Amino acid sequence: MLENRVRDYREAAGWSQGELARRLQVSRQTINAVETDKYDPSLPLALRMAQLFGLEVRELFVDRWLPEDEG
Amino acid sequence: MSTMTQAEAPKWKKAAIKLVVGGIFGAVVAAGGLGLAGTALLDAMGPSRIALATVGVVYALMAALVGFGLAAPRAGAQILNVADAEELREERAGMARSVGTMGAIGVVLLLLAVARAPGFEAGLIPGAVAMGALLAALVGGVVASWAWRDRFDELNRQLGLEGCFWAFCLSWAGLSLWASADFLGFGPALTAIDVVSTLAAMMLLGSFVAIGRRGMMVR
Repeated sequence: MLENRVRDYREAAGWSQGELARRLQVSRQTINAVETDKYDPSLPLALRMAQLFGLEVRELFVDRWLPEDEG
Repeated sequence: MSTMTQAEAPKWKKAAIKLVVGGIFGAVVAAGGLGLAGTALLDAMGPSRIALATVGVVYALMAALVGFGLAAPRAGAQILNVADAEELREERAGMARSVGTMGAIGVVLLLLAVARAPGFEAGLIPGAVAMGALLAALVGGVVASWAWRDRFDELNRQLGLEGCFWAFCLSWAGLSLWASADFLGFGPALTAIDVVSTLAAMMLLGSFVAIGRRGMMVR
């Protein structure tokens, strides 16, 4: 699972999980699952989340993966 | 790390309480149902029909519990896998659809279990009634799936797909083993209605596996 900062930005915006869910047209369960790293959202939803917070996707979702050094 | 451990402990405690309460409630209802049915009917039903009825009762009980949660969100939040009462209010429409679906499955399975059939003259209802209910539920399921196709969000869809995957794997393994054992004379006979019971039970189990693997059994 990716790490994400959805809860931080949601709380900074003063929105409840239900409010964010309504704005993104998903269930509150989905927001809760994303915030608790139980579900990685689809690319379209991640893009919509980032757009809603005025961020780039990589600012909202953090992937620690690094490519192997092929040399 | 210690903060996480401290936060997780109450969740598991809450889950354990829900499990115990659910188990007691299920046992009481099952005992009541068996008492109502009477030993003569139960003897006539045999293990396959009793298993089918048990699966039907589980579906019906789950529908009843979620329905109770929708009717009384504050109390419902204590026994259902939701964050709080507000979630039950916000997700009312989706959960009401679940209540209808699980309730219909439960009722149809129960009707099939108690329907008269060759070799089961003690059945409580004509076989045609159960068959009609099954057909109506199937048609209703297709129509509802079409009508509700845009009501499910991506997490619902993903969990549905994963639940079906696990249900298929479990059914394949279970039914293959059982059918093969029966075929080779090693195990109890697999009747046609056992397939219905197994598929319904594995759909429930598969859903729990899918939800549990994502750590969503506790909120």
